[in-house]
Amino acid sequence: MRRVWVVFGSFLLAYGFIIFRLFYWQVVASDSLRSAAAAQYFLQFPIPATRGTIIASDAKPLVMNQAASLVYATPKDINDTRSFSQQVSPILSLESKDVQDRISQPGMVWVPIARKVDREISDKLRQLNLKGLGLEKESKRYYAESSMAAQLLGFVGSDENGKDRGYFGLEGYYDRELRGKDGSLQVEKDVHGTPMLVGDVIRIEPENGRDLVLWLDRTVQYSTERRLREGIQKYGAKEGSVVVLDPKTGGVLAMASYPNYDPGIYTKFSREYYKNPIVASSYEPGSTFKVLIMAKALDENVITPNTEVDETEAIQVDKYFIKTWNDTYHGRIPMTKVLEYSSNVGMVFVQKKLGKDKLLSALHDFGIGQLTGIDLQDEATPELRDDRDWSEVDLATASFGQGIAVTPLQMLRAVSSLANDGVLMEPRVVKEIRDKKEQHITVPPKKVRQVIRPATAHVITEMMVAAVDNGEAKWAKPNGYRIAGKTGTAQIPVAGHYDEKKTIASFVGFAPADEPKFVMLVTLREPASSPWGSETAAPLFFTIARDLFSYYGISPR
Amino acid sequence: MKKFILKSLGIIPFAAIILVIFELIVSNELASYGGRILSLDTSIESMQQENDTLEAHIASSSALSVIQVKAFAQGFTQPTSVLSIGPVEVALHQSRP
Repeated sequence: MRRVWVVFGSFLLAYGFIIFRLFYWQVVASDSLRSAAAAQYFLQFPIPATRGTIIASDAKPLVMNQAASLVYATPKDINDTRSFSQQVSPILSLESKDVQDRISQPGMVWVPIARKVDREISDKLRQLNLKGLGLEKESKRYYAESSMAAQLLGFVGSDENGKDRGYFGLEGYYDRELRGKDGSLQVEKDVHGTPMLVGDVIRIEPENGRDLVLWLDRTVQYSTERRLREGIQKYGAKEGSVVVLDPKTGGVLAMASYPNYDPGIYTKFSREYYKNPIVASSYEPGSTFKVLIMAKALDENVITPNTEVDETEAIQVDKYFIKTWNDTYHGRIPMTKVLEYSSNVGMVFVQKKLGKDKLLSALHDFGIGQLTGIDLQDEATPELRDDRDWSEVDLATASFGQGIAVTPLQMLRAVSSLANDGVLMEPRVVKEIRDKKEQHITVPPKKVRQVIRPATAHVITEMMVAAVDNGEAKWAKPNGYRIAGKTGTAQIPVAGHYDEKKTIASFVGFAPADEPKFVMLVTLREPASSPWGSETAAPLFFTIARDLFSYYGISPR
Repeated sequence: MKKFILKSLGIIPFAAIILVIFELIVSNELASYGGRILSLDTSIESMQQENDTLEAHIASSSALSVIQVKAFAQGFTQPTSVLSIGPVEVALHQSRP
């Protein structure tokens, strides 16, 4: 009987052990086993989303995608790492030792060797038929017009997880719209690893990125960039920029800066070139700013075009004397002549007539010291001093554009309101956003505010036309066209004082004056041939304007 | 009638066996289609890549810098002056009385 109980007890123990192990495998370890089993009989592929295209206004692509590959190694499948590296590295233009070191690291199952490899190179790698070498499909940005509008477009780099991400310009600002959302495909596989049609399939479609259609005109951009490069060389400037807007819509027709870079190979350029100086750098606008203060004074009815000022000598403000730019004085002159002669003395008179509150109100109304809201990632604004911190001399110098800083885009947007019946618009680069289902989202032009009355805008336009026809730059103006504009020559502040030799030469204007098709600002930093805007930036403006008249079919009168 | 029904009932097991065998054959065939699907997917991917490459080639060929170089090579030059023909005074443009 005892032996029966011993046998019975042994069976009970054995069954208890089996039940315990079954409990462990089916309950405690079930999740990990399920995952391991799924890995054995499921294949999972990510379906990458295609990044959106950036298209110019003539429907030609500026930025698109090109097929590329991620090259990787699986070290456990490589028998001879040295031979492997020696075969792979010359094709990828890498050091053989670097590749060998990477694939020889202990514990590595999957090692990336190179990213965004072109198709020709990946085809060569495929022909090697090397065990342990793998290629994964990925896409690469392709810039059809090379470095055109580089700072406006931005570039695509990698984020901290190695995923594509846009930086600067449009690629940065619209990164989420352009990126889309990856999908996935999960299928059951057979013992050979091939998908089974009768098995389970779970497919999540990717949401491809949206395309951006720009206001940018490819021809205007190309022509502008070419003329800017020629101008910088001709006038010996260190840097330069040109921006062209449509005054009615605020659409950016062209935005060119030099020096620039190639976004396709951005790593080969210094980081300082990535920033768009038109939206992110500031300068003192100089005499171009006079048109804004004059416009406000006219709008406030504190002056008329025929109001006269006594310009016989330098004017004293506080303990300073403010002279004309060439120390020449013309006696009693009307406001129209103040712009023609670009008289600092005349502008101080206007500022005193306007008064502090109205002048500061003018700055705020024209958007000085405020972000324009343009759809580019890197926009910045110089700070305007607090309303309480303006001294008498600050107000005086601000009236002729010194002691106050703006970005080129802020300056141009403000002048653009004069060409648009006094309406300040929000500048935009993108006109339309499209998704792959052909749904279009139009980005409508945005009116910010009415800065001056339409009648005032027409008056200041005529004064600016007179300034071009009779001013220092009249020699360069194209015949037969009414162009409203103003030259500017601003000294560059260096270590708390103004450098006498270093200037920023600029010209801002719009044409045709009666029905403006474009408004443009040209800036040249430290032109060597002449410091004056009338001899450098103005002729460059008129050269580009001639191209635009021809392109838009605008005949002279 | 009863004989007919009994005979019919006798056929059912055979029919079931034939259908099971048929299902096994079809499933087996379908299971091997996975390889062909993979091959088709690879072809589709390859053609899409080819399309992308061709699109990029078209875009680069129509780049303005390329067009300018080709235009200069063919003898086109920048116009030095532009002649504008203004509103022409012809009868067609005059309003009739």
